[in-house]
Amino acid sequence: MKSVLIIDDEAGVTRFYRKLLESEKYEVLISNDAAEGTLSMVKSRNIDLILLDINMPEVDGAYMLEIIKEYNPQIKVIIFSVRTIKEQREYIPYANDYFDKSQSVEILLEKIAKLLKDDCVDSMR
Amino acid sequence: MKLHSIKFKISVAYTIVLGFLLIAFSVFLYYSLYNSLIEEMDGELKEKSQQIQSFINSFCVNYYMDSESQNEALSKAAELTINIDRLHENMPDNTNIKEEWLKLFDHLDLSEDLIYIYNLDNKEAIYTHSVDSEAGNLFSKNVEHKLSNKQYFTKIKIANEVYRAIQEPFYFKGKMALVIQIATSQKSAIALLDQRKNVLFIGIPVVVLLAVIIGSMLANQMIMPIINVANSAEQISYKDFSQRVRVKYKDEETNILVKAFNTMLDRLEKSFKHIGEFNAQVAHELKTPIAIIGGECEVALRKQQSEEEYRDAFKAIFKESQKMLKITEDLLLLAKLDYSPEIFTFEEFDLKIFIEEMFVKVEKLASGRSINLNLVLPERDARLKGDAVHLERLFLNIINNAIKFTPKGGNISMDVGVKDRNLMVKIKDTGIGISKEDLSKIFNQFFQVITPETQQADGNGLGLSIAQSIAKIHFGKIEAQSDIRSGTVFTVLLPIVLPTAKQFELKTAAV
Repeated sequence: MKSVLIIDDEAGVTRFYRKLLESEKYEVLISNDAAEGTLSMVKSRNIDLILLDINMPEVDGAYMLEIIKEYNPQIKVIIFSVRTIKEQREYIPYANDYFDKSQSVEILLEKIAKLLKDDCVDSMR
Repeated sequence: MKLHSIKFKISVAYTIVLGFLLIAFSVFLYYSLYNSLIEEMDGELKEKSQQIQSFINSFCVNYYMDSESQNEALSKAAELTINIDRLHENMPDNTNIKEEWLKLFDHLDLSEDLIYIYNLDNKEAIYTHSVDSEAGNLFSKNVEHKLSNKQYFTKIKIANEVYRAIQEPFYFKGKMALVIQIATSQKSAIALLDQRKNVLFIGIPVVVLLAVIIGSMLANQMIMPIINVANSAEQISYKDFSQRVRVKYKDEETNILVKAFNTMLDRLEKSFKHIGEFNAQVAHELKTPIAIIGGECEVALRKQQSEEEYRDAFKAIFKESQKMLKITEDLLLLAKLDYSPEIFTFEEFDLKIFIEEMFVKVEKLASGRSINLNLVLPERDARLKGDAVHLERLFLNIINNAIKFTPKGGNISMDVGVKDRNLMVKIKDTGIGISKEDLSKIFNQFFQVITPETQQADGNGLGLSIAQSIAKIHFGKIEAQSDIRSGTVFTVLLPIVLPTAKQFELKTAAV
C-alpha cells in the first residue's frame, strides 16, 4: 500500500482529500503544522508521495520542498494550492507535478497514480 | 471654431465689450465736439452782437448830444441803420458812419450771417441783412420764444438750413429799445461733424474686425496649452496609469492644471493598484472555501457512502459556506463604511453604560476560554455621539481578537477614560503579542497573524480593518502597541464632540 502525506494547514481541505485517497486504497498521513513535525514524519514513515500546500503559517511550501528533497530526493511531491498551475510553477519550479485545488479530484488521482507508477518502473529497473 | 469653445466665447465677449466701449467713446467724442463747436459759435455770435450794440450805442449817444429827445435819437438811429446801401445813398453827410459800419461789417465777417434788428416800439425792422424784412423776425417762424432781457441762444431752421442764432435786447438810456438777432449757418460745423461721423462709422467696424482677428489669434495661443494638456492626458489610457502629462509651460495656470492632472493620476494609479490587489485577495480568500465545497461534493458523489459520511460532508460544506458568507458580509460592510456614510445614525449615549452592557456579553465568551475579564469605568459620565450598532461591532472585533490571541488563564482588561478631547478605551491583553513587523499591517484588509497557536481560530483578516474604518467614521482612531510575549494594548480614541459640518466635509474630502 502506497502512502501519501498531505501537508496543509486548512483542516477543511485535508478532511476530504484523506477520504478520497483512503477510498482509493492509499495510506494517508496528515500534517497541518510546523516543519519539524512534518520532517520527523517523513523520516519515520515510509512515504511515497507528498501533497504540499504553498501558503502555510509556519513554513512556506517552497522551503518545505527543499527540506524534504534534501532528506529524500526520491519522494514524489505534488504542489497543490488554490493558485493556478502556472503561478505554482513560477513560484516552485522543481516539484514533480502541480495541482489546482479547484480542479476535479479525478485529475489529482490521475497525477498521483502516474507518479507512483513511474516510481514502480524506476524501482524495477 | 466651435460655438461652445472657450476660444469662441472669449472672442465674442471681447468683441462685444470692445465694440460697446468704442461706440460709447465715439458718441462721447461726437457730442463733445458738437458742444465745443456750438460753444465756439455762440461766442462768436455774442461778440458780433456786442460789437453791433456798441456801434449803435456810440452812434445814438453822439446823435443824442445834438438831438432834443431820446425818441428822436432812436428814430434817427433807425433811419441811419435801416439799410447800409440806403444809408450810403441817402445820407451823404453821414458817410463816415457808413464807412465805419462797413468796416465793422467786414471786421465781424457778417456777410454770411442773417441779421435782423427791430424797434420794440413799432415792431418794425430797422436793419436786415440776407433776410426778407417783411417776413418778420428771425425767430418767429422757428421757435417759440419770449423776449427776455438777457441773451438768448437757439437753433433755427430757415429754408432747410440749420442756423445758430442769438437774440439780445439793446438798451438805450436804461430802456429796452431794440432787439438784435443774428444767425450763423451751422453748415461748416455740420460738415465737420459729418466727416468725423464717417470716420467713426468706417473706423469702428474696421477696428472691431481687426480686434476679432487679433483677439482670436491671441485666444488660440492662450487656449493651446490647455488643448495640449488635454491631448497629453488623453493619450494616457486606463491601462497605463504610470504615464504622466509631460507638458512644460511658462504660464502658472497651465502648470497648475498639469500638476492637478498628475496628482489625480497618482491617486488613480494607486487606487487602481489597490483595487486590483484587493480583488486578487478577495478571489483568493473565496477560492479556498469554494475548492473545499467542490471537493467535498465530488468526493461524496464518487462512491456510495454511509449516511454518517454524507452528514459529515454536508457539515463541512455548511461550515465553508458560513465562512464565505462572513467574508462577503464583511466586505459589504467595508464598502459601506468607505462609500455610504448614510448608513450611520449618530445618537448621543453614555459610553460607560454601553461598555458595561457589552462587557456582560463578552464575559461569557471569555470565561468559556478561562480568560479573566476586568473592566475599569470612570466616575463621571462618558457621553458620546455615535452609531451604537457599529461601535459595538468595533469593540467586539477588538475584544474577540484579544480573546483569540490570549492563552487560557490570561487576562483582558478594559479601561474607559478621557484623554484630551477624546473618550479613550484601552483594551489590554496578556496574549502572545504581535511582532513589530506585523503590527504595522494588522489594520490591513485580509492581514492575519497566523501562528501555530491560532491557526484553527476562525477569522478572515477583516475584523480590525472594519474596526478602524468605524473609528474613522467617528473621527476617531485605533492605535495598537504590542510586545511579543507580554501582550497587546489596543487604544480606541473617539472625539467627545463631533467636528462641525464644515470640518466634516473637509475631512471626507481629504479621505
